[in-house]
Amino acid sequence: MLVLTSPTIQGKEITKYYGLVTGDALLGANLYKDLFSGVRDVVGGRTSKYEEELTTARNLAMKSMIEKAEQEGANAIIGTRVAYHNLGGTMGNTIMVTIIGTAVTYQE
Amino acid sequence: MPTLSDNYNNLFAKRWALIAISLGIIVGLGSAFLSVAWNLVIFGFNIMYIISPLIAGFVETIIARRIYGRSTGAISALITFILINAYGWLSLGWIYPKEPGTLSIITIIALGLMIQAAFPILVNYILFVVVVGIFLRLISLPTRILGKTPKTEGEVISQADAISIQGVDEPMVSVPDIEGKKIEQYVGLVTGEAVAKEKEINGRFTKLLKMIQPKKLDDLHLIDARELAVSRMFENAYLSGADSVVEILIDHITIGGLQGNATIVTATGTAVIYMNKSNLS
Repeated sequence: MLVLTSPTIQGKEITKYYGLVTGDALLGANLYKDLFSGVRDVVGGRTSKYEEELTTARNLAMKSMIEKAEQEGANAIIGTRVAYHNLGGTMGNTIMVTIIGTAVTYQE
Repeated sequence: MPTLSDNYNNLFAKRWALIAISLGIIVGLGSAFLSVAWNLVIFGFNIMYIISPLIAGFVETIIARRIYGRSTGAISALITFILINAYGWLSLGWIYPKEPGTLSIITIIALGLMIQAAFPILVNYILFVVVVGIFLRLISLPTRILGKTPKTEGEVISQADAISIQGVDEPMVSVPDIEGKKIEQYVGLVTGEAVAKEKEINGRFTKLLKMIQPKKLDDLHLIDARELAVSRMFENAYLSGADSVVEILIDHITIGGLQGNATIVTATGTAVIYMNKSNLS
């Protein structure tokens, strides 16, 4: 599955447009991780746990979007955009990753 | 390997931090001394246990911020706390012949407060993670004994959707143009919004728990809201005579606070009319 941010695929002809496909994933940063990332912020160094979680969430969202596009019969997703949103709440530490793109079929 | 002179230089560079810490300890112990001397006892509990570490930390932080340039982490509060407790609980009447504390419910609550003031991260962790975790386990215990699967299983970690709206002849896309089709006319910007309603929670206590727990994806009706936003956007486009919408952008905004949150889904795009309509009816 080809996933692109560009609106066209150069040198390839797009034969069918299916429409918008989306994928979401929530990253619920729990308090246990928060506690140790706080310590790490004081001591210094990167809070790698968050980075790992963020990558996992993005991969999950991407995977579910690709699955949806495959169900539709597409072989590429163009015009893809990834957005990260902070879902407030009192603890204010739930990050939502949303991906939106256009499912298409292109001539190989 | 740091040499002796290196160590000395290091200490010299941090002299204001050390002075701030020692001043904090002196002021903290001074306030404890005054509390004992003036017998400042509330409900059989000397207030020095609570206020002296706070005063020490306060003085230390102010001096450190002003002169040293950054906070030193309220070390003097911890030292004052340990010293006062060592005096109050272990060596009663060693310096002053007054008994600083007697045990009662209020004393125990005050002790909790005192420990909270001295070790905020640890106590908050115990309060929010351990206590709530045990409580949640207890709540789910009856269902587990009865052999029922709790509702939290099978939760949605990620979800996907293909947005298709009835009555749309041309696909709506997130790209600026469709290959093989020529745009005859640009109609203009169209938008649509929808509020993603959160799952209704019954009961005051579960509502409180909800505030601490991380959100789950199936609590939000995101897919419904997104489809509603896109269909409202298309409705706007259709009303102005357009065939389809290109360059669609979907955004999510969260507003709210303690009473609850609302996630607003917005869809923005450019409404267009294509040259060759495939389905003219």
